[in-house]
Amino acid sequence: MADFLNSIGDKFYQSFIYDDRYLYFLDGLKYTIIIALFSALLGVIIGAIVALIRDYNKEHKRLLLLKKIADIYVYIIRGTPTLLQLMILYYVVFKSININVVIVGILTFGINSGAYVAEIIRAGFDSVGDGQREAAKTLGLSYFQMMKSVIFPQAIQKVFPALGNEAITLLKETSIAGYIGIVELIKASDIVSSRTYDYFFPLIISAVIYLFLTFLLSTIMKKVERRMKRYV
Amino acid sequence: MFKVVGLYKNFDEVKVLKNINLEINKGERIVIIGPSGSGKSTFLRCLNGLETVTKGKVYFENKDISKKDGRETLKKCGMVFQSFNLFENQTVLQNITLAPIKNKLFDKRIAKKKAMELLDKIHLKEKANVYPSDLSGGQKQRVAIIRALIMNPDVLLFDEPTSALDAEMIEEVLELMKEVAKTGMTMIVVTHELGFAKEFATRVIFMNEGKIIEDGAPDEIFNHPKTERLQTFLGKIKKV
Repeated sequence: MADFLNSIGDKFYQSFIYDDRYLYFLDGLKYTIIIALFSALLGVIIGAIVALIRDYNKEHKRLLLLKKIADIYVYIIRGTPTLLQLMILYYVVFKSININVVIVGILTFGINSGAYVAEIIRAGFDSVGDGQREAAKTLGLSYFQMMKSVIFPQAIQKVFPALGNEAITLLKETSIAGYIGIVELIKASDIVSSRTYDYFFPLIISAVIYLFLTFLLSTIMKKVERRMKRYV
Repeated sequence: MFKVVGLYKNFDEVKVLKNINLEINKGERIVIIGPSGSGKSTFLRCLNGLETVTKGKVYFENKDISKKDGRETLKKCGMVFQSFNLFENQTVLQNITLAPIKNKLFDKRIAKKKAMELLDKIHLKEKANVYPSDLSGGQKQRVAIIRALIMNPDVLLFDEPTSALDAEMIEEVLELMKEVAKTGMTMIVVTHELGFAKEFATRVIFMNEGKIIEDGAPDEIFNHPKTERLQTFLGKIKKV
């Protein structure tokens, strides 16, 4: 038993402490967070714009070309694996351009998440109902005044839990960024494993960090959600 | 004020309005009655462009409302809905002041002051800072009416304003509408409240199956109906 505990302790030491290997995990964590954060931001911006274009088209029958582009974008992103999108962006689109690989990661995950966010926000717009839109129209509000003051705030509030889900999905999905050479958490644990020939601790450590991150994220989301619920 | 020429409206295959021709003058209080599905509400919504017409023209203050300047003049045409349609994310006060502020009718301070005056008139001053979900149906509808009034409209459309209300709240809304009428406001009302129509209207229009069947003074319509269709309609209502 003592031997067993000793060997566990030794393996943990080898995976985490020896040669400052915890720095790999810290660095991986840093990139995971950077990519998740900025791509989530990009995703929300793209998603909101796409949802607005589609909504505007539905209401005013204009911007037909932009609407078609938005439809095709959502169709392609939702119909292909994220890993494939990542590799296409890295090996094809940015092949001959000297660009930081982390930015390629952020772009990929942001563009990917944007399609899902667009669908979520669209559902939010639909949930507000036409009555308030009609009231806004008869009060002489422009489309953008109406969206900004009436529809958007309600839509976001209604779909906030779904957006939180998307954020968690996105955070976990960044784990495939290692494929194009970004040393995020999984890649970091991979590197450590290859030094120690032990997979147990590096993977468990990564798992614990992910669990902690998603726990933190969902706690924050819940707090914000509760704060938003003041008028229902 | 309104001029409707050869108006048709189809929803896909369903012909809802069939050749409506009508002129509405300033100061008239028109009540539109008719059985469900006769096209009353659709007609009202065609007047302010909430529905695009299939064929024909609607003019408001001599301007074609399908054109840009016509749409601009429609800012002078307010509407009150069956389901109130207050902005749920805004307080009562914000509901009333949002449009006048955004349209630069008044600045914030004056808009607030006017809104509070109006709220005082309908005895809802103390509800200024609550959200619509805290109001009763009757209160919601009264707020919706002053929200439309603060825009200084030339005409107000009412689409079954009391149909979604509990019986005990109908009266407070009808009373407010009568108050508004005293200011000389042009009003066009779709309603099933025939008693109210009788004393409120200067002119009553009876619609059936997408057409205007009778159009006249309340006395003519209610006491001397010419067509069999109107007679049956009034007979059915009386029996109930």
